[in-house]
Amino acid sequence: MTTAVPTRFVPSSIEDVLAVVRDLSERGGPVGIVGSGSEWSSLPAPDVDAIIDMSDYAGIVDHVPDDLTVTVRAGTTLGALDEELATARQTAVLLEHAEARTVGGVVGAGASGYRRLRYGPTRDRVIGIELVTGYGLRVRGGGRLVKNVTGYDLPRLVTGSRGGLGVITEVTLKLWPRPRTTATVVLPDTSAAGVSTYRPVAVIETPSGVFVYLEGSERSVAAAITELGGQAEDGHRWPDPPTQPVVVSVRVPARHVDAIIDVVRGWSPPWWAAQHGVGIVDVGLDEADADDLEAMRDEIREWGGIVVADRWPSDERPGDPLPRERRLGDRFGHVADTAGIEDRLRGLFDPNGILARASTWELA
Amino acid sequence: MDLVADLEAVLGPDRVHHHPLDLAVFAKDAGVTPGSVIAVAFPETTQEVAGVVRAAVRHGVPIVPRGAGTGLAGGAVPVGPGLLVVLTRLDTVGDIDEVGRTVWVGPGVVNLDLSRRTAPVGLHFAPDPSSQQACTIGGNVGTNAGGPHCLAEGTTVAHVLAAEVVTPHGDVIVVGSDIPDAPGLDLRAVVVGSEGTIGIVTRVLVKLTPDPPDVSTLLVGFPSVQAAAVTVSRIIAGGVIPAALEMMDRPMVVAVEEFVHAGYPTDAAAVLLVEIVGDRSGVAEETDLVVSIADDAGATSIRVAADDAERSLLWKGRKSAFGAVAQTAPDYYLHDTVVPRTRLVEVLDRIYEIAERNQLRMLNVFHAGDGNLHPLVAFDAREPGMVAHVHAAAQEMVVASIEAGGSLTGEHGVGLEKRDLMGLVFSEEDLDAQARIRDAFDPDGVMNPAKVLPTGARCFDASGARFE
Repeated sequence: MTTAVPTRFVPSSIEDVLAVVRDLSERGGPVGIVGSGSEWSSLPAPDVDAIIDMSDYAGIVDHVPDDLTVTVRAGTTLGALDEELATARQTAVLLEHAEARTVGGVVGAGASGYRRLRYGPTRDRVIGIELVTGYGLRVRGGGRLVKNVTGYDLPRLVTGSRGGLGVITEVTLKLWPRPRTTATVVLPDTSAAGVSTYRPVAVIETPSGVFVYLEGSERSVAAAITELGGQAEDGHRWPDPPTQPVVVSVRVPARHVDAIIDVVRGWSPPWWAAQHGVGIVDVGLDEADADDLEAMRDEIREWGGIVVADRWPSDERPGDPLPRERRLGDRFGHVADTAGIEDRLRGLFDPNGILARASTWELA
Repeated sequence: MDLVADLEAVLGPDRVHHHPLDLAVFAKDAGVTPGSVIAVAFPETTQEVAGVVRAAVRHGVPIVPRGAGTGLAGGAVPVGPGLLVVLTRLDTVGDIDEVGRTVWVGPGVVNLDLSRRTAPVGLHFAPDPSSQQACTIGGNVGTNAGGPHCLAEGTTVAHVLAAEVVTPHGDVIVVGSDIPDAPGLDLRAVVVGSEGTIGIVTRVLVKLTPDPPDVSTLLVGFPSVQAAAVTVSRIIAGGVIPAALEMMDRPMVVAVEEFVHAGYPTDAAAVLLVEIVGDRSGVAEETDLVVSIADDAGATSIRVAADDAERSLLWKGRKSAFGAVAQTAPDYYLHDTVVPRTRLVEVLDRIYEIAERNQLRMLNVFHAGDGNLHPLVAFDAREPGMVAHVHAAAQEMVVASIEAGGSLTGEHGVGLEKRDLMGLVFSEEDLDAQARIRDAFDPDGVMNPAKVLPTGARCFDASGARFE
């Protein structure tokens, strides 16, 4: 285990990124890549020798409103992106409650927001990518085009690769017009939401009820509110983020969400939010519940699902070290069997193996 | 034993074809370039596909998967003698998951048949290529196929959650997942659009889309192609993303009208076919908006389909376009470039100029909403030198698209036809990275070799230095 504080590199140009990666590629890793650092700050520090911090490599490269595309440097925050897109009444439909996170971080993590029921996951909007690969070359895939099948799909492959193939330096996103009207309807249960609304933006169930998120033209939103009944309010009121020290994301086939809500209720969590039609139930837990992670995984496996740790106490708290049995061993608890293809792909993009450890979150 | 005997041991003699007539029939897809076929195999199960792959690998014979053969880019045409594996008999449709809106299907299921199967529960498969009455889901996955309705819904990759794949080593793996955001690399996204170069897809978990409660279909005539293109931009800028936004120029409208008599305005220089879907009030509001934008741009006729029958007729006009051309010329050559929507008018002007200068008969029908052009050159291949002349002009059109920030293909795939043009879009470093992706799946190059990437694409070593 590395004991020294990792060396931090903060490149501010593409040349810097290339130089840092080439240098580290020779010296060896493991190397971690961060944007705003929001994911890392929620989890025990991974064991890395060096960190490439992309937050300084920021800025809008090109926004063409009439093409519904925007190209940004990886360190651009979602807040800065939104500010730019607001000038054209557009949105990239990324995360809610995440102004400080960076585009590169969100794309690298493959993170999607609540509106994916209607708009699909983030990866469906990543239409172009620039990457400095583990072997130190600048590579582009896709383009600034909303429709394009030219060559292998590097943009989607890199989305969610968690830094395992290289450092994301630039991202082109497909945009959507901002809806003219938005509303949130609160219902006591899902029976009405499921049948009467055509493609809501999201249907989220929490301990306070079922929230149906609508958007579109004024008339269509009004008509949907009438059909749904229930209490309506203007705008999208997303669930408040969890405040608990442990947060896990339960991911199951979407048809099992109702059943999983029952399972999760059995854990008596202080906070949970279930995305109907998507298959994700986020759960906020007390620290002592961390002991039960493997038991939760066993229960969810019965439904063909997995439990991913999104927030976990740090191992090294001054004066209050985390008990050994409570430490996070495996964040994802799941490895797909791809007959060695995934390993070969990582090896071809990261021949010296400097990126692999941080990307798979193998913690000592 | 020879390859045919080995294949017959897996499939029986009835499902291995090697008569010269069969080999000739299967040597082409819907494009213009023929290939060379050793034998045609018709497996019916995943295990049979794995057996066929292992047999071909033992004999060192390249493997080319094929669906209905409606592709236009030569993706299913073997370069050098190869084994064609036809997947049309893997055509089962599993139980529809109405809550999760998914279903596992065989690659041989015909695109339109799938939507017919799911219609009773109010769902459909969104990608709708013009060939949807014949093309298969496996072919859609192979090419990452599109269609008019991909403007709002995206191409096939957005509608495939997972796929079972027989690897070039004969292993059976599943890429993707029925759970959201499964950890690991998104190999599914590589498999979709890989044009048979990295394995054979034997089952597909597709995402189904709810049928809209209301649909409005408009056919709008314009005095110029430019006025139609301006209308496209203004609709998008107005915050409306129609379900489909298609353009046809006058030569194409005339050809279609003579063929299907759909009542298209043959006096217009260009027409737009616009479809808006959603709930009743939203559709009415957006239809009004489109009508007023079209009016402002000088539309000469606006026809709103009154019922499903009229809507079908208007779509029949659009979807019969290629058939209509086939009625008027012995051969046609079709491109599939994409340009940024804001550069449409400029690129169209250049394409018309290229056709005129080369004295070629050109018709246009395309997905205007996402800038996906299909300039179609009608010709007679029997005229000496004509094929080379058409190819040269077509390449000029491709270059014009790329110079405007465009790309080679929006939905048909690279295949053989555009392989050697990849260098116009991508650098050596970009192509090398793509070759690495392919090598990870197929290190020995047995799957559909010589497609998608030009020869020598892999040109950098592990330290990032160029191979000497």
